[in-house]
Amino acid sequence: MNKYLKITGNNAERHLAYRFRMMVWIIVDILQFVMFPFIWLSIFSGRADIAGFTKEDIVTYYVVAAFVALAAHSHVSRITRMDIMEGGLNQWLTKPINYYLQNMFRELGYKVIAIFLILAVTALAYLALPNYIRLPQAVSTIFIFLLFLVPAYLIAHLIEFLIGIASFWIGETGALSNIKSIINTVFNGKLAPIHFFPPLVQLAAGILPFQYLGYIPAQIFLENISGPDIARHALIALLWVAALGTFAALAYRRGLRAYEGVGI
Amino acid sequence: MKQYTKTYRVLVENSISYMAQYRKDTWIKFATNALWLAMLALTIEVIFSFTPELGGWERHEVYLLTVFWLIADEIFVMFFGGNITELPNIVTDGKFDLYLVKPISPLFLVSTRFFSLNSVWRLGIQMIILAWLGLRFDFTASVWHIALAPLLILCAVAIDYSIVLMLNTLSFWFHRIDNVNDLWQVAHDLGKYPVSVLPKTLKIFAFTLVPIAFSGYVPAAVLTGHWPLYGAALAVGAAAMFLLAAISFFRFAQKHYSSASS
Repeated sequence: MNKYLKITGNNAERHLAYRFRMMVWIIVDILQFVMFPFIWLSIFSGRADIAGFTKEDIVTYYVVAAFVALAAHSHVSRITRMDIMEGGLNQWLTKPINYYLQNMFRELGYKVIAIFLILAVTALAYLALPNYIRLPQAVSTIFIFLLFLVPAYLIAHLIEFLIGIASFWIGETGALSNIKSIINTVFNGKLAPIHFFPPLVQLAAGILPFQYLGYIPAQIFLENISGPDIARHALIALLWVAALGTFAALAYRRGLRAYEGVGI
Repeated sequence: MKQYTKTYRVLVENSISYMAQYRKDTWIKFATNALWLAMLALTIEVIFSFTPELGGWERHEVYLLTVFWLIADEIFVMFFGGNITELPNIVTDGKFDLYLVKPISPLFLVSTRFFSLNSVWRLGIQMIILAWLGLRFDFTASVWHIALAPLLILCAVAIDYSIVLMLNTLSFWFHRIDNVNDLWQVAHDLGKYPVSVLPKTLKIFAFTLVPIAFSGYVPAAVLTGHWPLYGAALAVGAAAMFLLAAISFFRFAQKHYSSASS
């Protein structure tokens, strides 16, 4: 475990060396959520709520969804694709280190710094707009919300890893990444809370794992999900982690058999 | 001018030859684009399932705004998309030296090296959608409005080009800033929606420092009567100003360029 934590530390130092670049990535992740609160707030015009969401709920929802997106978002598909296509994977195969875990802990180096920064920005947002951000009434809700960030990160990371190792067979994975990005945008609740969508879209969202990358954690924070439903979602999220993890392990092993390590 | 036309024709021919090797990739990108258009339509439908109007804009007007945004973005991608964003790599790797020694403007080469053939097909689809919108809904557009629309889209392309050029020109001084293109792309994406929903301060930003309003909002506003016809003069003025600033900045950077060598 020490070697993986060392990777996390090294990567955190690397990101701190390129502070401007890291700040840009954080702003990119947050900026995607900026327009939607204003769109929904402009729709209220005198109404008390939209589909059960008050003005405070909708602003809080997007602030929390942005936080979860930043915490869960992974860049591992690009790194994995380059390692496979350029032969960079060779060095990892000869080292006593698990390739997937080193990627995950490397990504954590960025997350640790980014989450501190986003917490500071969120605190500033709360101080600037106290009437628009609703904190949970129970402290345990915050604890449960933070716990849900773990499967969110793992699910996002595993999906990105699977896209990256698709390079073993199809080479360039840009199109696959774009398709995942579009599906993720719809089903993680970034465009709108999932229960705003038509029933068919809600059904699809319930079947797919993307709702755990934004919508479900945000709903937990808003205390719109509680008790048995939280337990049910926790179990489903963990099942997704197990399923994606198993599939990734099998696919990676299969891919290594096809890997030639010469670089493309 | 003849030299530039001839050079550009060769660059386009090279691009088409290159893209012809990746026919499967073209179909995949087509499918991805269709999925993305469906997502945009779903977003608008979900919003309008809760309201008859958004920031004073009706559903068909928001569709028009989005299509104008798509067309302007596609034209930019077609001619300049994959080119200017390579500038940080070109400067950092010292390849800019090769652009300087050629008997043609380095800015021209940096801007036009690759022509995206895939954008031609996508633009075709977007024009069909625009035509369908025009026939399906009554925008009560006069001949003047219709004549102004292409000009306003060209202004949008010019502003987009200027901003991307200015951001990438920073690479002459700062290393590893290629992700500023992602920053602009995300900001630019926000221009798909009516900026009239934004509070006053952000609206000012959308027309000045982060000019996302010109991509879809201004052309659609003029065409639908949300803005008077002379509002088009603002777009033309802004485009001229941004273009002049971008080209001046690039020339300033070029004068201060010292080769990175290899």
